[in-house]
Amino acid sequence: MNPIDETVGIALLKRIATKDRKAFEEFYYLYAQNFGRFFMKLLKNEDWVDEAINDFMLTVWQQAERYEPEKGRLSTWLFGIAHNKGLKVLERYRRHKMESLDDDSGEFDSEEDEGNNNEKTGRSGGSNPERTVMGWQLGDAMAWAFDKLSPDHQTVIELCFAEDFTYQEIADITGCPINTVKTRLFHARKRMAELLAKKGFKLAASEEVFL
Amino acid sequence: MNMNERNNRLHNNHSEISELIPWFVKGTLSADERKAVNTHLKSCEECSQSLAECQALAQKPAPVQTEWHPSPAHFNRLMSELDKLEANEKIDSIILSSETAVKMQKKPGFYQRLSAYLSKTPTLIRWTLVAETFAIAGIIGFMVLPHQLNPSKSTSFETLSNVESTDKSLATAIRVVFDAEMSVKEMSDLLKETKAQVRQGPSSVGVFTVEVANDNVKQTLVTLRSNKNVRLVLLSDQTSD
Repeated sequence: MNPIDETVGIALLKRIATKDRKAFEEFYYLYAQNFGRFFMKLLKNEDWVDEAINDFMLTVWQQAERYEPEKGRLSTWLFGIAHNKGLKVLERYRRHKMESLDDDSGEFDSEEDEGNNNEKTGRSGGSNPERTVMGWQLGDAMAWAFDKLSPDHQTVIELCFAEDFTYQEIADITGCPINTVKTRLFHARKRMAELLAKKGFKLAASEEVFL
Repeated sequence: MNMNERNNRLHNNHSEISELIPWFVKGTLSADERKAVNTHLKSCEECSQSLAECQALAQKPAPVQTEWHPSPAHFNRLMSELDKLEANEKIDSIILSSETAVKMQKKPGFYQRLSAYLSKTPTLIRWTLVAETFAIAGIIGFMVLPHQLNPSKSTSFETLSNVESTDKSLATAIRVVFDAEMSVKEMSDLLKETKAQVRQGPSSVGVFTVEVANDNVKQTLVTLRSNKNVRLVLLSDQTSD
């Protein structure tokens, strides 16, 4: 997510608390893109994201006066709302999603489709049982594996790796104990690695991170 | 648990370390946690593999297949939702206040009804009601608290000597006839001197019954008999009840 200056957001929120619609408009154009991306990963449907953004923004409008900067970062407070609204929209459309989406139509949905999958991702290494791939080639496979995770697992991966939240902040956002957050992320990445391994991918380490 | 104990536990606990690796990669751990993870990684192959997975996830997070973009059209829809929301809130507020008003009209409280009744009543009748209320309260109080209003009722009788009652089980009755010319003061002084107390009398023939403590009977008899104004002193056959 593109970083946004917290002080700008807090100033806007204070004005929103006084029901300043101009500030609300500025807030929308400042934050909607980032939260739209967050919702898109969770919901994978533009209409649902429209709805989730609406719910999220309306809640910000109604609860702006409740934010207390001394209790935590604005982004933590906003993601707490977004997480809650995203799950509600997901729950609302879960049945509809089950009916409308055909799980078997995904790019990497079955072991039998592996040949097709390799073709779609631009690789022809079907004979190579384990490949270490970084960069955009891995991107599609990761997107597929990410989609296979539960919403809870997706959220915790997203909040840690894409949004850079600490485990304490993720616990605040999701309303879970810290140990639950740690365990959930452990199982989420383990599951993701298993899914990728089934397709012959292996996530590789980069030396510069290992200190 | 202090920090050192926690650090030692971290160094020795593989599962705790492996759960911290994502935040180690993202650089959001505390210095102690980072040190513990770093130390553990050097000797744990499994955690090194986890580190590789987390680095890959951090460097190439799951891509968004379709970007979502804010737009004036979406914002306008949002604002129309906001207008609806605020209109509903206003309606709810109006309904709530009107319901409250209706409730208050339908069910006025006791004091409201009393106040309304009194405001319609002429002043004279109002004061009459107040007087009646106090009178009724007084009667009820008198009936409920009779002993408090008449504390002397419990006393059976009073004598001229008005001394403390003798313990009747230890008292002796003496019948006395005083001279007709004897004044009340003289009679009172004599009774005080003998420590006697009038129980009954005078009878139709002028006899008083007095009582004295048993251990004082002889002295009393001598004193009474030596007094010139005492005509008769007779020890009663019966002791008092």
